[in-house]
Amino acid sequence: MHSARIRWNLRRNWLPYLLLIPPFAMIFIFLYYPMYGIVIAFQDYSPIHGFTGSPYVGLKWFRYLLDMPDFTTILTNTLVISLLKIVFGQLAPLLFALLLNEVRHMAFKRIVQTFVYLPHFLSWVIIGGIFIDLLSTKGIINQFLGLFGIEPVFFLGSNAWFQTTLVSMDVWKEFGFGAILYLAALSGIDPHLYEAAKMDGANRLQQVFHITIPQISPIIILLCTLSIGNILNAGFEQVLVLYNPAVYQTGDIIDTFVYRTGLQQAQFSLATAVGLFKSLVSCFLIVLSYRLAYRFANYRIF
Amino acid sequence: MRQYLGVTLVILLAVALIAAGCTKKNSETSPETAKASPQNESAANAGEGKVFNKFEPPVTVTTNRILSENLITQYANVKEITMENNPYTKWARETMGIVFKDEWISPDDTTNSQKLNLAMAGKTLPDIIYGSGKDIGTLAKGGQLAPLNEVIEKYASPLSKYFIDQFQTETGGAFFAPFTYDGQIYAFPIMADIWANTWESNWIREDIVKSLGKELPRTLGEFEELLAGFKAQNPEGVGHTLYMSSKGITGMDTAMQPFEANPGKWVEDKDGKLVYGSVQPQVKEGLATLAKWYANGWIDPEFIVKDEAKSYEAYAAGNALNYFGMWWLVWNPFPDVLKNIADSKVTAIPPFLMPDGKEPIVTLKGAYSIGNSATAINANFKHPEVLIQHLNLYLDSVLRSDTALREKMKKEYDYDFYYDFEEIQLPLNPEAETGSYYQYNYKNEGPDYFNQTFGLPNIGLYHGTAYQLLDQYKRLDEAEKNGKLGEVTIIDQKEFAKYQEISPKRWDSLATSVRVFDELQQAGRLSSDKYVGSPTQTLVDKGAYLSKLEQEAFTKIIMGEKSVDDFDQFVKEWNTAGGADLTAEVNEWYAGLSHE
Repeated sequence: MHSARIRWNLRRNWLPYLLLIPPFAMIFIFLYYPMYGIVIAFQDYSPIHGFTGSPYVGLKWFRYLLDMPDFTTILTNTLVISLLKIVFGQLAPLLFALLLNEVRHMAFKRIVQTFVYLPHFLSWVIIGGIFIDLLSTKGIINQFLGLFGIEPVFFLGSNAWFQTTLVSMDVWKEFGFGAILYLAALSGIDPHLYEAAKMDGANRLQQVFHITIPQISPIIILLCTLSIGNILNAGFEQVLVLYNPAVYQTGDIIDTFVYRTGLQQAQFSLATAVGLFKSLVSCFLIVLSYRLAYRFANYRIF
Repeated sequence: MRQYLGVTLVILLAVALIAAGCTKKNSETSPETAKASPQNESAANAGEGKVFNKFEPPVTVTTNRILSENLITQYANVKEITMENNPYTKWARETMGIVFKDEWISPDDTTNSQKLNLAMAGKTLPDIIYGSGKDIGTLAKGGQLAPLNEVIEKYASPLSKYFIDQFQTETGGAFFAPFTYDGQIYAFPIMADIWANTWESNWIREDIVKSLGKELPRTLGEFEELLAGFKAQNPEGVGHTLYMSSKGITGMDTAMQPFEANPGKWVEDKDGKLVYGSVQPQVKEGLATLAKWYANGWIDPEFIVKDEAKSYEAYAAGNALNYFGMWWLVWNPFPDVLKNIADSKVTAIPPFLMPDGKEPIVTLKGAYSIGNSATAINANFKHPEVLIQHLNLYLDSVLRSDTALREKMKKEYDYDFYYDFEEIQLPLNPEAETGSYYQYNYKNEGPDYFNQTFGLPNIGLYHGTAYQLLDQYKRLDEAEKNGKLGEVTIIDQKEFAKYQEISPKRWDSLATSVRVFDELQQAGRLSSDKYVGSPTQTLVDKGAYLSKLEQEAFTKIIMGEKSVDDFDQFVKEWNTAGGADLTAEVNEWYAGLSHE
């Protein structure tokens, strides 16, 4: 029964399937097949001996990572920075999208949107360089604070401020781009709902809470769930560009630690082991949050 | 019709994907054959114990090289010179019977490392391999390299041995050390000017000193008076420059040298054992000094986020009093300040006196270390002696006009040069830059500039004597002082002319630097970082953490977040976290090194 149906389907719609073959091949060759390389996380890998010739060392590298004296600090930093980025990184685009959605002037809306998502395309090396100047004790931000009589703050050099600075910079860079998805979702809300609410006497704020947010809550939950998978990636490039020994205590994350260790010798195995560790944790967290989303919001992604 | 359009698109897409994949791969390997070993076995004996040798028929030797973009563009317009076909390759083919082929060419070290890793995995290593110390280490441990001890012993000419010995003496026997594993030498570093790679000093703005009514400082106290005066004069200026580099806080030496403290270097203690400079008590005094300077605003409060390039800004704009750095700062950033500020004068000054008034011993960085790159020979290469025979002939060609050397070699080693004596001809084209194609015009062609231009110094192995550049500068200094600039050789003249560009005051600055070094060398107060070997096991495992401890501790002390007494805590932590093991391993390595 089924096979006949499949054959009929293939005969009538063979073109889309054919079109899918190149991307599938690419995904298989470049993403799935190389997964075999994970074995080097359990070896003392050397390019000379290759995958099959390098000695097997079991969990040595995982133990190495966990035995590092400052592993707890590094892990804490990674988690804290990540969580802050996820929370504010979702809030900011949402708020911005809600506000921008209320704007009636189309040209203004589009111009603002374009300017606001431009920083997403710049690399951290550029933005880092700019901000090192902006945030310096003689920079614009401190001068501005000086107008209120506040002493200049060395944002990038003090442990008290470093994480806040990191998160703020990241939110500034990404909120424009993140808002695009929300704006698209917002424009998909049925305007009749708003009319009905207005007739019932709802003001703007009540409309937002009772219509807009519930309508786009699937998107919000989806994005949050996906972000949780990123929790151990606290933004390596940004931290590397901005951190310095004065803020190692709050700024050193797993990736920067592995990067510095790898400078001594090409530590392929260590880097792979850390990557695997992060992926496993992410996978577990995504599954967990997916289950929770289903349990509490009755929402399924797949 | 529509359906066929769809099919065509799909096929085009597939073809495009495959083509994209293929082209990338092809540009990695050389367009010529990718075979590594020499294609033609030489019929005759490959020269057992022969110092000079010509392969009949010619032998193909593959290698890799690093060639920066501007070198390639320099010769892009000269039609008779290409990378594959120039006086050097002609010479190699005719005199030695060698044809060099590239496995790959990289624009810089990082790319070269990556390609080397790929080659290791793909088993396509060239015959003669050029790589960083780290790469050589990986290859050596993987058994991919041929040991060179015997090859050097058997095939090196007296001339080559003379220079190798010279470099061994100048580095205290550590010339091959970074590339020696289990007593076997696995790579040959480039013989180049040692002074050029290691000499750093204080660079002070003499005009500012004069404007404050003072003399060049000889003690820390005098220097601090200057710092205070400069701050009063220029509140936004930077007294002493510190910045962050890959090694951590850089520029501390100004405050460290007067206490004979050497953070970051390994020095001998009174028992002849190696100890790590950063955990010695003298460093505490240096840190206290720096903390004082920071508190007084004499150091840029944001030095912690400034890299080397940013650190030049203040000095180039004339807003910094002192910078501790290499002699070649005369090339950048000093020209800016010398040109833009009318009376500016940048002078190198010797290290300040110790608290008890004595002159300190200065420890420079090691000239040859694991950070250098070197040339190694593939274990599968059938003619490892090619490298040494090439060196023999190369030295002969480059040094043929040095009469004193020729006589010395004849008298002491009974060695006759392969090339007859020839005067260095005047450049065919006097307008050409020094070291350009037209510089040498020997009757019997021989390599020098081409070997270096087209990135084959890794095979030439020789860039100059241990103090070639320094000697040249000393000669020029003498000549200038005595008004005899017209009598120096063309090459020296051209070098001098380079320093007249942008601002002639650059030469004066350089001269001060040379004189300071000379004084230190004559007085025997120079030493160098003694640990130049490959990273020990503890360094590989705990190095990053130990370095982090050090940088954090130093930063907090200098910036005033922790008191200087925290230094003792840091030393304890450093030792327990693996520093003590590291010291033991380093000493084991040091004991195994042959001291000449």
